[in-house]
Amino acid sequence: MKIIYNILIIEPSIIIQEGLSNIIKSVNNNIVVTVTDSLSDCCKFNTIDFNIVLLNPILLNNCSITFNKFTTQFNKSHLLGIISTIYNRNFYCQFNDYIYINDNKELIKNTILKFLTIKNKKKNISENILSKRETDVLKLLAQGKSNKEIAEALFISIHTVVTHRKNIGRKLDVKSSAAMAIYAVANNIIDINDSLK
Amino acid sequence: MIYKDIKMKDVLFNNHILLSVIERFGINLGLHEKTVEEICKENNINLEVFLTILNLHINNKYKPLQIYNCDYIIAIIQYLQKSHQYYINEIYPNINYNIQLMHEANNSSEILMVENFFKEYTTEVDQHFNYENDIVFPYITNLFDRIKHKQNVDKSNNYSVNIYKEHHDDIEGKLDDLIKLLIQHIPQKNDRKIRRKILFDLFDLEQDLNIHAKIENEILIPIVERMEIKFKNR
Repeated sequence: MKIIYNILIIEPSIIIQEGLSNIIKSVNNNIVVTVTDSLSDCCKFNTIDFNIVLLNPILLNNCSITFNKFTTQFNKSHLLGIISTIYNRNFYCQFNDYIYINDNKELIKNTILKFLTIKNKKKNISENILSKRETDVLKLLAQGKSNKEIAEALFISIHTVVTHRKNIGRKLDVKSSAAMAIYAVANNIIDINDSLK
Repeated sequence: MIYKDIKMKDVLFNNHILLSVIERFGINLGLHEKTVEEICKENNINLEVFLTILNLHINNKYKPLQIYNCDYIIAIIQYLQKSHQYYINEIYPNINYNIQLMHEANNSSEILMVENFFKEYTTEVDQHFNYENDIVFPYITNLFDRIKHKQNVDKSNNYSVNIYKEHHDDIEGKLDDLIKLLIQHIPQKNDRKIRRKILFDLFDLEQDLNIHAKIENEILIPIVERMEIKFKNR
């Protein structure tokens, strides 16, 4: 299956937008570039998982709150700064890397390529599968055991049990223990007779 | 956005989801060319409350008008009570019945567990609604009557809307779990049609309950808070 890389450029200058966009597209054929000239337009792109987001810090108007919002929105993407002038140093340290407008083509391509090959920060599927220890906790949980009982059975602290429970909930995307038990039965982690004990 | 001059039939052509909402206001179909305002007049419905609730249902970004007028409170409570009846008498039994059918089609342990899960959830919801019907709404109605008739504070009753606010837990959490289970975690066996039906109903219910909670948290509670201040300062 062909992997598509999504890259977002947020840059006010049309010359830099077009130039950068063309150079990035020449890296390989699987790149889709989206371009916008203002930060306020970014909310439109909420639904797309961008591999890389390039931002010219000039759009931040020296406002760190705006920057925090931006980094939160794109917390799953690699963030690169487009450096066209001199900025407050605080804005530098939060980017993963920079592209300077006087960089040569090869350097820009290499920078982009570097971040395409690094795995996206977003969760991959294997992270959603329960670990051995979480499965042990889930088995006992589905049998209706309390945190204390689970802790004693597995020789771990109650605090650790709570952490495992939280992680199970996060990975399965359900909140109640009852739903976790149904998951366990449906996926043959435990037998229904155990859950009814 | 729905305004008072729009024809009621057009409101429904564009937002069929509102069919169950107008039913809760006691409006009968066969709307002819009547406008929203005319329909409200005919059925003795508070127009402001009606428009606010309709708009909340079709636009999740809609900010309820500042209808902090305590005269609206009775109309709002009536709507909330009617919604409780609609969920309890119609929606929950219907989903419950369909889950039983799903169990007949897919006779697996996990579906049996889903059946019990939903029953437990329904019991919790019952308690939640009963608390509102038996304690919260009578308290507000009583407060309203006392303000209207310029009576004094009922000293025997220490209840306040703050207690309600703190107790007001959400009833959508388990519903969301159920949707996740049916879509993500439980393999499909022989139950495609009925599971799809259940999911459609669950999504509709979840949406409806979200609006219901919004009406309580963003309209009802703020009005009652104001009423309480007004009452104390008399």
